Amino acid sequence: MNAVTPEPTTPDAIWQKVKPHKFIALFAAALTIFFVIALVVILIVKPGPTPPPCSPKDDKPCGRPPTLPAAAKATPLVNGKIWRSSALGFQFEYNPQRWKVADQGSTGVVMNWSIPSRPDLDLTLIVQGAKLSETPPAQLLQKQINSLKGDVLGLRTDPSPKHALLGPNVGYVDQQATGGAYAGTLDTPQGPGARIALLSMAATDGKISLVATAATTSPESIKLALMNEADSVLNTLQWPSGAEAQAASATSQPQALRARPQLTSAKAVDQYVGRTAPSKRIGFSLVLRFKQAALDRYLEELQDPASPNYHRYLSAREIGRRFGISDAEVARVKRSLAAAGLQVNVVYAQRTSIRASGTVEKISAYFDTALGDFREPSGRVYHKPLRTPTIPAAIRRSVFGVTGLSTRSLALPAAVPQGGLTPATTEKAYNLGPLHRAGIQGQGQTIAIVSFDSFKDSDPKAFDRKFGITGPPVKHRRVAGGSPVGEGSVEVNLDIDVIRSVAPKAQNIDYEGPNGRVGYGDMLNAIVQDGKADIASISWGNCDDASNLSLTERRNTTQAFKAAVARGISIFVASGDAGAYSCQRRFLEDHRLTAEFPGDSPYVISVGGTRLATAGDGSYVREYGWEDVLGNGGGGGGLNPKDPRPAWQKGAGVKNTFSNGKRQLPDVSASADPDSGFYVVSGGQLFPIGGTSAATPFWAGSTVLIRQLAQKQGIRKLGFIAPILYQLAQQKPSPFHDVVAGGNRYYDAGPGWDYSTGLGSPDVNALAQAMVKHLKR
Amino acid sequence: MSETPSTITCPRCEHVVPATPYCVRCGEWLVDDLSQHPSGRRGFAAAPNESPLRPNVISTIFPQLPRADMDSFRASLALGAAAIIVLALFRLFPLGLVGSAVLVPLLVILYLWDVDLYEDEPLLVMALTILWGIGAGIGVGFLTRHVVEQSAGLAVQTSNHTLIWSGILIPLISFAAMIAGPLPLLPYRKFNDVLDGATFGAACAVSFVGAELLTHSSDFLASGVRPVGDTVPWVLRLISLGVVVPVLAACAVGAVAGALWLRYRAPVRDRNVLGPLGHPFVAVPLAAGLIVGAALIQLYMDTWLELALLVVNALLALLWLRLMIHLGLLQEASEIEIGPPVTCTNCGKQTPSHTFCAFCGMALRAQPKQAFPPRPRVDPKGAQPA
Repeated sequence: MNAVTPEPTTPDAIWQKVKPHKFIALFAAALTIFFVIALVVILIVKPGPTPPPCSPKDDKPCGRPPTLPAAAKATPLVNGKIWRSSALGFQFEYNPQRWKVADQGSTGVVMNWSIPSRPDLDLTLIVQGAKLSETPPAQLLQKQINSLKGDVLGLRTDPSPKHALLGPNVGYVDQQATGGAYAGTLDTPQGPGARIALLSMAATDGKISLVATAATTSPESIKLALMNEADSVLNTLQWPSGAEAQAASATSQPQALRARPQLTSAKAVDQYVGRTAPSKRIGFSLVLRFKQAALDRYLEELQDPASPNYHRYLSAREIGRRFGISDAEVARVKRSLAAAGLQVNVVYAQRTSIRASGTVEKISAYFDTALGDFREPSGRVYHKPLRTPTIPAAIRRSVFGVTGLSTRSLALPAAVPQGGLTPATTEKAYNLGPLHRAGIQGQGQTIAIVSFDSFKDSDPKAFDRKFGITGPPVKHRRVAGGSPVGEGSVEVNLDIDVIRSVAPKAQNIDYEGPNGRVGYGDMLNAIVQDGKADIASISWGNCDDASNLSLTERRNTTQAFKAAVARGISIFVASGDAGAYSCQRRFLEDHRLTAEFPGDSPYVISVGGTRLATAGDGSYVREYGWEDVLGNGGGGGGLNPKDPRPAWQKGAGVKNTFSNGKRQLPDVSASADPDSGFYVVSGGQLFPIGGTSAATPFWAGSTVLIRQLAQKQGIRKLGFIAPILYQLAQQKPSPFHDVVAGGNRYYDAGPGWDYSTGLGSPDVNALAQAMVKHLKR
Repeated sequence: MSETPSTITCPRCEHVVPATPYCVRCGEWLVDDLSQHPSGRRGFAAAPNESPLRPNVISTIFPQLPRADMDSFRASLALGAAAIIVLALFRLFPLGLVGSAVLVPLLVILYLWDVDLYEDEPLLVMALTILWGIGAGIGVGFLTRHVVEQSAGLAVQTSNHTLIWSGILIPLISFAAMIAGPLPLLPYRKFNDVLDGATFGAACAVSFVGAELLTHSSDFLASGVRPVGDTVPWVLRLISLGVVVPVLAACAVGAVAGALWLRYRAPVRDRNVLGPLGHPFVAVPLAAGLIVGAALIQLYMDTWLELALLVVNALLALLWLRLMIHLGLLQEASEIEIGPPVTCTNCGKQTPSHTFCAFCGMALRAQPKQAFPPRPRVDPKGAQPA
């Protein structure tokens, strides 16, 4: 069978609606349109930059610390549930109200965190172990990451320094520790879903290896707070060998157990908005010259029992007369200001500075500068001089410099909400009971709180009602016009409530200044001049970095602090909540070892942080240096970049491999980990808060009790107690709880003084008795 | 116009047909020398130069595409896939994801437009088909966002919840939503070809898959232009999502729709030509199994293995749809008389108007309808209402 031969093809007859090249072009154009639309949408909805814990907002202090929603802050981790590995013997504690075991085996467990009020928040913690002989930590970590790659699309190391994991450890053990940040996208058969961030770290105690991975798809803004929840579990981890309790070296010197992290310091650039309105009225401080050498000599003599000036503290007026400029010079400065149309507001009696104000136009003319407005990445607008202000020649002999012309936010509150100590449990844990029962509760004592915010009177009252406190109401003392109640009021309430927990009948005076417009020096000048309190508590600070703190501001603060010491005031200052990386609070990518100002001043008592573990009856068991590696938290500690180490800072552990002749911090410590924070009422709500800004008022309040006991025994003044604390730490038995485990994400805690917890936390009754005995000698 | 050739008795259908290379009634190769046949044996009815078992994506999911346009579509698909790969290599994953979601649906829309598939009410029919797929995809996408765990816990597959919802229930719901798209058109005599069912099903499926992907992954689009991620897994995943999964869905749903059309619109004698694969009671579970299987592969397999198994899955569906189209186009061949010559859009020659082009063997039903006048339709005697 044969068919006929087909006729030739007629190309024109082949039907084509569109020629191939046109079709492909049409397709490409259509696809491009989709891509352009998608790009626009992606750019519109793309996430903002990772907010650092202290990003400034509006005209408030530089933002807030990581905060969980209110409902998540309800219960402290008390009597958590134990999960134990049957094969390897490690165990940890978790809060069953928040954590559920999703999967478990003999060597590991997967746990999911959730709270009913915020179903949008999630956190998963995976803890997996293996025998060290079979799997070293690095290999175990890689194994865990690989096992997640199937469900996390494109899982890889997160290269952003903002997300880096500093100081990895597992349950305070950092032997062969390794870890890092990872990121990817959750993948389901229906397609890629949420972005997922993972922090993973592994270590060994010499017998087993453990890897812990915390993962969340929750927004960046709350990631650090969530990671604190994972830290809360990991910090309870007990290795089968008990290594977490022996984590510190047995030697008397702190050892560098961790590799120094990569140094980066990329910083956001503030945007110039324009000239500051000439008619705007602003305040400023003239930092007056001081007889520094004479004052320094006097401060040394104050601590020298052989000196006739030993513990001979001066009044503000005496300080001004002995070390400040003359009356004639003060008058000349005042005349100069008046002639320029500027108004003198305060001339401090100690003559550390003069507070003045005027219009931008006149101030610019007086200091031969111009002021410009700048917008921080957060949107907050501040002003600062566009060129260095020049002190007029006529007053240059009397005036060192001017501060306050820049309103870039300076002071940060330092508080991390979570776990909880009530007045009763605080009393028990730190042995305040004997003093309280002896009637030493702060009666007749006054304490100054430095605040760059304010508080609602109803909050301390509610706290008092809740815990049956009947002390005098807290007084407001407004500096430079004071401050409205803002975001930092949580910090103010924390200071007040912790002091009232410890010294319930003391008179608290809250010195309130507008953040950014006044500095620490201005606040201290007011305290010194008022002369009402010789114990002060400062829970504010900022990274001690030249870009963040002008020489004049440092001088103004230091001068005021020196005057305070000469006045016999003990200033307790928080050492910071970012561990050894204070500047990370403002710039997450800043991994330099940095200290917190003014907590690193040699003229204050720097207070670091611990995590407190108590027995079932609330009595003291042990403390760890506070470090929340996943949540970027930890007690501040390290080296001051400028000021030398004071002579009185000596004793076991002080001179160590990291010492460089500069001031070392902290001096002391107390509970600060959010898992063992203090209960506070703020905004009418009761919840626990951690941070060194909780430990600081605790120390200040405890010192109030010591002062009262001392007065009762005829000692008029405690004065600046830092040197005494170092001497008492050498006693056997020591009135301090020496913290030997944990760290601050870089430095380990260890026997004697260390960069994580200083001398340690107090047995307050023992410390009071020891100090009184010491002062009576 | 060519002179009408002499006649010959087709050895397959046993009708007297013009003595041309192909039987105009059944498409049989009438030339003795089988080696002259483009595919070496009997060709695919919609593309006679290809074997019915050759897994050609373009000629299968776009069966009515003129041969001259095949290369354009093939090039466009390759261009789109290349664009997705390049975007992934530059870590522009969100853009790559959008590309994956729109690539095949866009080609389908262009195909429907290019071949003027439904000449009488093209806009309405196309809109209904595509919009149903998009609407259902968005709806199921929101459902998956709600019920499929989006938390970090998913990363470690901690519960059966993921398996049940993400691996089984959602795929079944998706399949039901996709097949529900063409069903309303089943009773219409105007669309009584198996090819109609397959085309409606495929168009609905790819629109659904694209819309569901975009809806489900909208969170990911908010993660910035260049989120962190390894490029190789992303390239593989985007190719899966952009090409393999839509092809699989189009073929599985198209085949089921074809089976339904075959069952309820084709002449009674043709209903069993595909054997059990053409029976809805077999076809529906089989297609659902392919869709669920793909979900389970994506749930439990990684990167290369996942892609490889998905490709195998998609190939099975592709061959099934191809057979469905092929046999569907062969149906009703003997019921009508040979009509006046028309120009074949595939080869450009004048061919007697019946079922197949006498010179290239292409099914005339698989030709653009604007180019080829509607032929008399067979009354599907015994056809049951859908």
